[in-house]
Amino acid sequence: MPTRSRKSKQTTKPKTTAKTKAKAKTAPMLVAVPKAEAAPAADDVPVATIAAAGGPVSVEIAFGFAQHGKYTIQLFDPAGATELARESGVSTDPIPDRFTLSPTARQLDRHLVQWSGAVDAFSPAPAQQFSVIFDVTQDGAGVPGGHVEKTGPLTVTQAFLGILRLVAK
Amino acid sequence: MSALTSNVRAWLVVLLVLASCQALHAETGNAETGNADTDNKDSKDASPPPAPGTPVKLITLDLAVPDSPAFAILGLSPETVVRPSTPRDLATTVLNGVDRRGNLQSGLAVDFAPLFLFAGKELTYNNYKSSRGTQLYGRTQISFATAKGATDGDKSLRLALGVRTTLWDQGDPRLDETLVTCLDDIPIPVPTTALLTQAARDAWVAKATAERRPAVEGCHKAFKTRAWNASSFAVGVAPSWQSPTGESKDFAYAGTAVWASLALGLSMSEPATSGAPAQVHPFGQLIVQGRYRNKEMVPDKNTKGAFFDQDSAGVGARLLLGAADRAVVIETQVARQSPKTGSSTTSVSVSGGGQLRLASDLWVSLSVGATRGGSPNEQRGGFVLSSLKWALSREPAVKIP
Repeated sequence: MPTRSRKSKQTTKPKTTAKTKAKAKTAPMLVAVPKAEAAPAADDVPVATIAAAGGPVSVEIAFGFAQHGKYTIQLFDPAGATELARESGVSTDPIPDRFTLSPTARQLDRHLVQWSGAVDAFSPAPAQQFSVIFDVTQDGAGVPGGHVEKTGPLTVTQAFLGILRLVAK
Repeated sequence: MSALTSNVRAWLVVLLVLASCQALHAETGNAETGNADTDNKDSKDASPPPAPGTPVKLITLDLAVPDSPAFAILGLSPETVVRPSTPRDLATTVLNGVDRRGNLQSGLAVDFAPLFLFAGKELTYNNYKSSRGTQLYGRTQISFATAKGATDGDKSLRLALGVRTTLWDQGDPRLDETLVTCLDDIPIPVPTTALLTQAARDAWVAKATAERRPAVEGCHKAFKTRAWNASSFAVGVAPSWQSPTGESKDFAYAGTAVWASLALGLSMSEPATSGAPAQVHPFGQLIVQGRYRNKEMVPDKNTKGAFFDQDSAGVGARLLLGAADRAVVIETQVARQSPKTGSSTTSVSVSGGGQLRLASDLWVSLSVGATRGGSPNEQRGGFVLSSLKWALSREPAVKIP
């Protein structure tokens, strides 16, 4: 999935490790993308609209309030049953938490991007906050529906999970 | 009792002996001081210790810069402190604190860190770590408080603004590599499928949060054990204003308080050996604090309801030896009061004591103190034993960060 400081992954289901960040920056991962199928009806997944004829699609996750964040971003097929790619990381290393999806925008139609993890407070002090901001961009600009923020009070730790369906138009 | 260790049992025996001594102390009217000039405070000290659970402050000096200087200068311990999490919350709080005529109401107590309030959402860990200016701003706290006059006939309204910042902080948890690694290494489960419904996502979040919490708390605890005595230098300032009528147009400057506190960690280092990193063993902390307050309105003992202006200054020091759960404490303070009318006085106080954690929420603390000088009415010939106190409480007498 990513273009970040990490090596290309040829498998459709790479192993998760935060330490992969230390690896050298190389080309985006090639993902075997199955043909788009109709999504299951019974879901409430928000939609991010990408341009089918546009450039590469990137995703980025950011943690506010200078808190500790640990995350995994996954790319799923339209049904959400098959994981096609995965990347993990932490907010405390100097590597940007930004990935470029290797499939074209047209190939990504109806696919799911899911991000999950946890924000940890650095101390048990009261009245702390957290924020997790997830952005989908294409050609360097945000896409409609592609900006998702989750904020709230933070006591010790807070897990999070978000999901978007990419729809190419 | 059978669950208690022999160490704890021994301390309980010591406590019983102390309790007996204290009862005797009360009955003999502080006979061990040999001083008939014992004031009411001494008698109060001889009363039975508060029940466990009541916060106890045995060692009297507060040598840290107050977290909320505005509350400190007004002498408040507000029950409801608003800690706004968004600029909108702050605006709402301030607007709610103004009546229809535009006058401030009493009872406002607001405390916030401006960096996290106004720019926290976009503040990443790397922004913070890479900029000393950001770190300094992040460790700056602003407080704002109002308080009404102390008596029914007193319509006055007091207002204070406080700023506190830690200029140097060796104990900043965000900059502690060991803590960062500890948090980095806590695993977190990854869903094997996409969670397509909100209910499924909520359930995953709740489960993952609950599972992760003990491990994160373990990292916090390890950090506290390692860095409880971290060195730091903090300063605080709080100007205040008073309106005798309670109306905003009548506010006049009512003095400022300034604090500065330097803490130096005492540790022993064990050099790195082959394969093992260097070890640091914290064993104590030395704190030196200076404070100054001008134009303080002090109640006149001789004339009921009257006040006089006074400037005061003090320098205090505390040596704490031990660990986060058991420590011996020695404190001293030199304080000088300079009333606008009358002569200035200087007092010197010394106290020593200790504290021990018996269980997770149970501390035993004891202290003995002596004071010389002070106001003319309390003038004594030399150092006198002013108090011998002990208590069980949920909190230690000297809070260790």
